[in-house]
Amino acid sequence: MSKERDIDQWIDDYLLGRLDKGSEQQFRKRLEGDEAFAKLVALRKEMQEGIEAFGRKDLKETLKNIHQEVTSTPVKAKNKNSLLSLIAVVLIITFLAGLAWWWMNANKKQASSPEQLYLAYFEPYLLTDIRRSDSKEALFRLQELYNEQKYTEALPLIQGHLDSLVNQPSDWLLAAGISALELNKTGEALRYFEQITNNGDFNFKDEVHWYRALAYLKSGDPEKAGVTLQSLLEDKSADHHKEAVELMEKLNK
Amino acid sequence: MDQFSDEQILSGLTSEDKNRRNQMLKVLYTQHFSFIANFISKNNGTSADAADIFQDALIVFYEKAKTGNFTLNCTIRTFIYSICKNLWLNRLRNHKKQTTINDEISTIAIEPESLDVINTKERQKVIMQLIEKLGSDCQKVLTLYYFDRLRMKEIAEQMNFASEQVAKNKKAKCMQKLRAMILDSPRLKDILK
Repeated sequence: MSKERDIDQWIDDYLLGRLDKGSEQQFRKRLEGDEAFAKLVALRKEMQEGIEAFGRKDLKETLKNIHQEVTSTPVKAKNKNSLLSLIAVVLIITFLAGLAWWWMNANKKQASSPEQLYLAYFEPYLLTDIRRSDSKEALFRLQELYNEQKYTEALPLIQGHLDSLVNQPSDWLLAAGISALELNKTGEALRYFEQITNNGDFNFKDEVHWYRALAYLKSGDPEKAGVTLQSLLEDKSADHHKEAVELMEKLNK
Repeated sequence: MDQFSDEQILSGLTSEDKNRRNQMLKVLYTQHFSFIANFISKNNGTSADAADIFQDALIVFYEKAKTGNFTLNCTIRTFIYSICKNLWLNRLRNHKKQTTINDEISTIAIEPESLDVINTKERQKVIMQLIEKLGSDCQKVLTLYYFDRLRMKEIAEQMNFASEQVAKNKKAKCMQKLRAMILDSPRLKDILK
């Protein structure tokens, strides 16, 4: 994974104009001679341009707000009629907001059993590291099988793949755990998550906490789920922090 | 509002502090919008056209300023006016209207490709929809890195991450998710073909 990250970073630095002349020449040379690499660069460029367009849209909104602020004049009620209309609108909005609040609360109460919370919050982790190539065709198919949520077929194959490796990668262990979880094999799922923790892989720390908490919910143990969520609650930058806060609030009700 | 020199504005605009950046955008608005609105109105535009063109020009200016090798060889007013003039000429041409403009002040040459960023391409729109689905943290990390061109250390500080490494990991994960969504999107699958 770190080699791939290094390549991604190299591409980013090239696209953002941050390479020195020597590296840039080396980059261009590889770009001309390596078709697979050129495709990677093309995809990364598309992603970067999409993100830039997203940033522009965001900045445009900021500028529209500044425009309002700079050019607006205070609004005054011109007469009694407009004041009455304003009061009527406020009353209607208040009524509708109350109605929405009541409806949301009623729904929250309905979805408060551990199993229902699991269903509401579970989303599978996507495997993305394997790219199609002759040497990795079988693994790529397995990745697709898992991403398509065909867990019954995927789990034994993932287990086989893991068994063939000396160092078991965290993303495949996580995929195995999630497949087991969805097949109602909660104990097995927890064992896979435990293995990731034992590997000491920092990159998957948050994912492991999150899916372990969901596993406890699925097995009907909201107390353990709550304890497991703690580290995600304490770290605002953690993956799933927001979902963890939301879920904890619901568990506490 | 305090008076700021062009150098101070440029430095505030490129600072990693978003509040400072927005403060400078407001200064630019206060100092130059009425001038541009007057110019657009004299050349068959409405006040809404003026606001739209001026905002697009500020975006172009901001992006130029964020590239590491930008040097301002004229006043900010001349630079923004030159962008606005080109954007407005393009729009008049697109609407097949008369395209003669009497200059208010001197102008500088603006490369057409730097104005092109304002026109969002179809594929970018689809990717933008996918970014919407990524969640606010990912959106923030990715735009801070690729659009605002902040370094990882600055992103970690802005987002209260424990370290630069946490920011790097977060960015890598968000890009992985986005890549998976792109490759999964029927409208974008052809990118890698």
